[in-house]
Amino acid sequence: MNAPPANPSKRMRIAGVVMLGLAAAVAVLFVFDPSTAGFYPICPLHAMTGLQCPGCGGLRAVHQLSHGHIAAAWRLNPFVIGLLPVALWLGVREAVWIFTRREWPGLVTRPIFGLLLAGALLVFGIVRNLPFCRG
Amino acid sequence: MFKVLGSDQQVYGPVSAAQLRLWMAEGRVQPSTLIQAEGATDWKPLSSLAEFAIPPVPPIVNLSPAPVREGGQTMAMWGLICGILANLCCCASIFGILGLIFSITVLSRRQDFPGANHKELAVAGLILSIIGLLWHSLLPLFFFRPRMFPHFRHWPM
Repeated sequence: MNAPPANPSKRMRIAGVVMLGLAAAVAVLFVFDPSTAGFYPICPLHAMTGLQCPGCGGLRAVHQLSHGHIAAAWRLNPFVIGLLPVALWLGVREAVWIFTRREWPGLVTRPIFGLLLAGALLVFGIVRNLPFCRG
Repeated sequence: MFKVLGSDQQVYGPVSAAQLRLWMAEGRVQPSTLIQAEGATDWKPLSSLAEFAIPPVPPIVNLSPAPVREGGQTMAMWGLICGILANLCCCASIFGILGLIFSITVLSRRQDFPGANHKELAVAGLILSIIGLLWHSLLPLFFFRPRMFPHFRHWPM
């Protein structure tokens, strides 16, 4: 039977705006290379100390990935590239929940994974600044 | 039997009162939606009919309960973890925004997360997230004196 359409809820509108914003950010990253364009933010830790923070190279890595250069992206920041599929899964899962009220398996939503993430972030931030890893 | 003027300005029906209640439960029909009773010529808002006054009748609610997510405790823990992460590094201050979202969701929708008391966790996550976002937002101030920093502009992010 024909049924009148459900009005989009406030959450659906917010989710739509967030998705549009993310798409716009990826489009900007695709067109402008962070290693040459001047308007991207600069890492304060690197500017002050010369050390690479765990996120350094993340934007350049996403730019390389958006052009299909997986190896170059991995060299720039393996941590961010490894986290992207996880973030993608959680984002799609959240969108499915908001728009269809279906619950997909969380896989990594237990809090222990958050502590693992914090530990991995610290270890990666230290290891990538060791003399034999720089470059 | 009733006819319904949908939010897309199309006329639906005629449908039974039970179907109308189902549409109410699904959010397709609001109290302000115009409906026309069989035999009547004028359109009235749904809320003006006593038999559809909100809240909807309990049996319908029991037939199709609105799905509610479990795990307020989990979400509060994630708020706290994101609050910690937000203070680790400037690039991780994105976690501050996530921490804000998790903590505020737990605090503002506590009726959806019955059971354990996770207010303290959520408040801790909220405070840590705000601290992380605040002091990282102050970092660009240092760049007004770039000569202090020999590596300035060496690498973008």
